[in-house]
Amino acid sequence: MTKPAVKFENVSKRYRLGIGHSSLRDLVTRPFRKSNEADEYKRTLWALRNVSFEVERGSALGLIGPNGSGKTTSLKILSRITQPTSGKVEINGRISALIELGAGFHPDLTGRENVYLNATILGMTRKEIEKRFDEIVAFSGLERFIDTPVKRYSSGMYVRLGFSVAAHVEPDVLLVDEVLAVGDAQFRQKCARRIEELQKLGTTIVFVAHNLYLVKSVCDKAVFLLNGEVQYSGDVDDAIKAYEDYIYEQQAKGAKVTHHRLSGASNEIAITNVEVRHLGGAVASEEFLHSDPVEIRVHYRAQKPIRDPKVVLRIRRADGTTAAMIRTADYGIQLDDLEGEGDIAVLVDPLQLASGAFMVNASLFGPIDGVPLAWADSRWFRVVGISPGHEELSGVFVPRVARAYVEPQRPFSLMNGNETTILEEQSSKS
Amino acid sequence: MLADLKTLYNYRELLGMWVFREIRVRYKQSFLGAAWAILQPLVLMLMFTIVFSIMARFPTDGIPYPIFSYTALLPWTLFATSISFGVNSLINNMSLVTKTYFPREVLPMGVIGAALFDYTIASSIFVVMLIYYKVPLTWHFLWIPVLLVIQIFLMLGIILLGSALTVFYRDVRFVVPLGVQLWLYATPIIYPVSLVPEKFRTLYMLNPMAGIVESYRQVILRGQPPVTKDIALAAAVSIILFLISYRVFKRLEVVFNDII
Repeated sequence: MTKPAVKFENVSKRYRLGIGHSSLRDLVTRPFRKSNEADEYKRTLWALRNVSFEVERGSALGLIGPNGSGKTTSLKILSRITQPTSGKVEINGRISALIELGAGFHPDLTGRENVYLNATILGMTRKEIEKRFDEIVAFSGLERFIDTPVKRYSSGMYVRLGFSVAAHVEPDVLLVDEVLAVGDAQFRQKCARRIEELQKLGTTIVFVAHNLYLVKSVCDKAVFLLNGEVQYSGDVDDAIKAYEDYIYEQQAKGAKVTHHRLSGASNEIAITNVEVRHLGGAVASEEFLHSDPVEIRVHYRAQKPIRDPKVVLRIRRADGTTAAMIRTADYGIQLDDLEGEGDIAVLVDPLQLASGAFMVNASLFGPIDGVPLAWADSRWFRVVGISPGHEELSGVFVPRVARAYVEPQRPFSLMNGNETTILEEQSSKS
Repeated sequence: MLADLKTLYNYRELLGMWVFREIRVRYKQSFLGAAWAILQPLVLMLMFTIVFSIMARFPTDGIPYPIFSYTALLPWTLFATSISFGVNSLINNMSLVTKTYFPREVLPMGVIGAALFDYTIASSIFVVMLIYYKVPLTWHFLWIPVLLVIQIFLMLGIILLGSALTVFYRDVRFVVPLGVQLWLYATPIIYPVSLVPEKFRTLYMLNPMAGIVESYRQVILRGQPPVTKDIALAAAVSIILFLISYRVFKRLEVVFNDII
């Protein structure tokens, strides 16, 4: 077996809360003093606790978990920016980080000078930079501005140049924080392609992201961190599932974790509850199949009668993606006027969402569009797949597949009447 | 220590880039550019000449005052600019320290590199002065690189320690300009060493800058080798300071990121 590209062995990292004047004195005198354990505990935060994982050469590992779980600290330790308090970190090969793009840029220097400086910091030699310089600039698309001081760059240009440099270092290990959410859509795609390219060249990748679906598409393995400790480590699908289960559990407990339940009301009407039920169920459910018929109930309390009400339901996935928008008006549905207290029920049949954790955000509009009169979130619910493992987490939507068949190429083309009719007929069958 | 130096060697290209950056940044968007490197010691020399040669009469052992003071101001300016820029080099590049990895001593070292560039420029006018005052060229001029190396060790010693401490205590920033000014008077720049009472001589020479500056005058203006005791003491103090500082710097380096 070859050596792993990255190895974390019982890595812990402690941060001190607040910088007392003791910090320097501590460091100098630590070897001569016995520390007071109890007192220490109050003033410290363990960002990582006995974290161990390995990344094999050429593979991609995702680090997932809620804010403050230790993902960024792990990356910082990997990139040697900060040192672990205890434990061992082993990195075999050159490391480059897409963490803070353009961190080494000096505003007074030109783009060209900054490329050289930044690339040198990232460990490239002068010769390598000279060889790749044109490529780097072309990638950033900043040919015209390369001799302009970067202080005159827009923030987008700045980051683009930063990414271009970092992405051309040809590292053995590439650390990626969710910085891909920079630049316009076109540049983002370019970044994603570049990462894929590096992956094909055998670069080991450690990826930190909140977007689980992105993690799934990039990584084969993942570590789910929570409060600095490893909750799950292994196959990416299982790790994501563990994390989603966690989000779901927290939501079920009513705890405010990553998403707060938001609501707002006007003096005319308020939404007191949003529930997602099985069709015919009397209470909200927490788990659905993608094929289930579902009833979304919006409970309102109106101070004044609302004429011509409209409901907009936004179904959000745990990663923030909008999975669907349901506007009653778009379906040509005319709701009765609202008075007093009651429910607006929206039937969705079948649900057709792919597995994952979801919630519904409901907004109520009156006759005037634009500003909602009231809005509120439902609790989280989970959609589970019928055949777990395979289609799990791929996409948000489970379309109804009408038919699938093999059509071998015929030696000479002969129009077959039967087939065309079959295709036309297969439209609605449930 | 050896391992640290080896790592630093691997980052030599970065050190080169950093020196280049320091030079570029310092004179960017300044009208006179690198001319400032000459103007700084030149203006000080003119002022000292007016005050201490025309208004008050300081003895100079028979050497014309302008070249007497400029000979000292040349290493002194190198010292003063290195210290004042160097001590802030870590906190001024906070984003680099918190977001990228490389041996941190590159930052303070780069400052010295840039100051050496200024020194070279300032030397050009010095050559003109040497010709004007008909100072004979002797083999003893070859001592200058040696003096320079001693001074680099001294500056590294101060800057490494100072910049590391600044990360923890911003007080250092205020101490440095004051300290440099006081240091000027503790060094034979406006006056000759002969003015220092004989019984304080050894104590006085514990200041390595005193030994260095005096040796400059010795080898350039008097055409003699440096006083062995002076230069040996300066070298010893400088190198010991450097070794201690570098040790402390590397020890503290691991927490810079968490503290800065």
